[in-house]
Amino acid sequence: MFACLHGSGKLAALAFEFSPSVEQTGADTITFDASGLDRLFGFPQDIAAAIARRAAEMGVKASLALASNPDAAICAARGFSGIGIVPYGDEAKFLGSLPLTLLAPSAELQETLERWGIRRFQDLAALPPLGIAERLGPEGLRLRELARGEAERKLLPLEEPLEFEDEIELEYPVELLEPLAFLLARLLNGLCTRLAARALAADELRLLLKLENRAAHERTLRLPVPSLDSKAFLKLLQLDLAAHPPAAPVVQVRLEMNPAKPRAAQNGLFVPLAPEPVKLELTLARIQAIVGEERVGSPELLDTHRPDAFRMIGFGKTKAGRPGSCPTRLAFRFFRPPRSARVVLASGQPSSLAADGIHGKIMELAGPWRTSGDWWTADPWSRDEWDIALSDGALYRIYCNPRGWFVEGSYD
Amino acid sequence: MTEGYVELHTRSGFSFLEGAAVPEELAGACAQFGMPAMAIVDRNGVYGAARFHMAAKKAGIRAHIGSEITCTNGVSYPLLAETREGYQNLCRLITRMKLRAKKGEGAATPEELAEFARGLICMTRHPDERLLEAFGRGNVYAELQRHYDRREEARNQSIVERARRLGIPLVATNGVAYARPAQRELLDVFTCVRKKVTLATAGRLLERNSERHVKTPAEMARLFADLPDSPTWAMNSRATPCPRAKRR
Repeated sequence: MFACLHGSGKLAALAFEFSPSVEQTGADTITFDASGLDRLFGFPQDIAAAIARRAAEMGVKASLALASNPDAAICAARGFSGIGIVPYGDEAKFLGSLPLTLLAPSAELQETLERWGIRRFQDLAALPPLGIAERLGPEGLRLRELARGEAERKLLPLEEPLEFEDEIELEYPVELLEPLAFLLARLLNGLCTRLAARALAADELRLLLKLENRAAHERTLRLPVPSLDSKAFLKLLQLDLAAHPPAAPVVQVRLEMNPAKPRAAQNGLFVPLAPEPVKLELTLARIQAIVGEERVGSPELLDTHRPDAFRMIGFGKTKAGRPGSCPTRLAFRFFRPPRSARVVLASGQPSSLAADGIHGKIMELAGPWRTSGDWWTADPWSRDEWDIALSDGALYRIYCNPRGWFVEGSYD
Repeated sequence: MTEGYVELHTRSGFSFLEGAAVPEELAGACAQFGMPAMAIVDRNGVYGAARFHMAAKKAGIRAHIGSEITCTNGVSYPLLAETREGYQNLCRLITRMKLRAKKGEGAATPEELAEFARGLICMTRHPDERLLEAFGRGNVYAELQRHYDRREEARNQSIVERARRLGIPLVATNGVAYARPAQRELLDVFTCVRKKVTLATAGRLLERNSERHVKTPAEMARLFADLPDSPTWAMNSRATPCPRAKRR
């Protein structure tokens, strides 16, 4: 059995949801092999209803026809609006009333048929094949076959594009996240099913929400490893939307997934099991929701002389870099934030220190170590550092910048 | 001690994109700070020597001439001409290394350094016995620089230790690359041009601070107060010819 969609919208995407064998018959016509769908949906009417339902969900406006051969389905879809099911064996009768122009004969043939008064499928179907062969040649015979709904051929398969995206246009704006989650679940399930059918997984999710105020709200989730866990995806999207809610009610939801090969890993017999990457991502997302997005991840040192300059980047995104070239003999413990201090100077060098929980006379010091930079920006900086040893033997790093004196941390 | 200090490691704008002051500015700063002399040591050439000599004469200071020679072992050696022969050797060394390389490139081999070592004084942050053999004891100095940099100080300690082991005297310089602290910004921009990056992406290629300017003898004495027996002052009395002297 073959089905044909004739209309506008994402016809190919709709067809690929039902069959892997799809033909792009024309700019506005898609034909696909529907054999086997009866085992899923039942009678041809049920198959047609399922396709029409999905077409309505995807916003596809097309006439649909089911027939035992592709050309009969194409003629029916092009000739009749709505849903048409061409009965097996009665194709000629079903298609009989259609005009012959639907078959797009050559101009010469069209003129001949016009002269003969043959204008409909049934007129041509009734003519004897031998006479047609003698007078109209192979093209005439081919047209007769099409008019009788008897033409048999193979589909020219269209390669399915690796695009996994879906959208829902809402009849009324959605304000709350909970109803939005239902819609997302539906989109996720559909996309994950399509991915699974191609033995693929997703490593990135892009959610685009069109808002009532015509603005767009876009969120992108990158996963450390490709996955197909739609429930985890839904939870991640929920957490992300809770942290970054749209500014206005949502009128359209679009979800795109980046396909990737699923990761195949074999666990060692004696190696303790690591948590599932997607579940770990979910846990991290929950932690991010509590402590803030910029506070979860792995610190990466910035390429600048500015002391203690770093940024947090997501786990699994760190570049494998060489360790710092400065040999570290002592571990340094940063006070965050640095403790404000009062420092007494003698001959331009610190001689005693008083800060929160730290007091004492400075017995030894090294410095100043002077740095400055970003002079071309609106935020230039400069500071002098000293490494000091207090009378109790503790080692600290103190610094002085235009805002005053601070204790940056201690050496372990 | 401070009165004798002479800056012996100065790069002018003639070290293409590695110096941010013209020789006149350097000579002016030197005279302003009461330094009796200054040595110009441009990268792989004596391009700024003539202008520096004229400016120094005008400012009433002595001009020492030298060049920072890149060696094939990856190290740069600031060489100062002590005698007329030294100046000739320096020029021949530069000519030879430039003749076989493309413009802006070229490096001398250690053997060539040894061949043209007569009359030259070598300052180095990598003192070793081969240099002693090439230039002769008394003509090699271990160079110390202090720019308020923690890592540089760690290197200084190792240089001091090595120099004392080899019996090499120490010399303090500031590795001057500009006359005034504000010119550090210009040097940063030059560095970006040289490395083909932007200021925002240059990162650690830029200067750590603005300490490579011409410093007063008092400032230098304060910086090296813990090494009173080292700095340049012992070296300053050693005469250095200038291009004009050579021509006579």
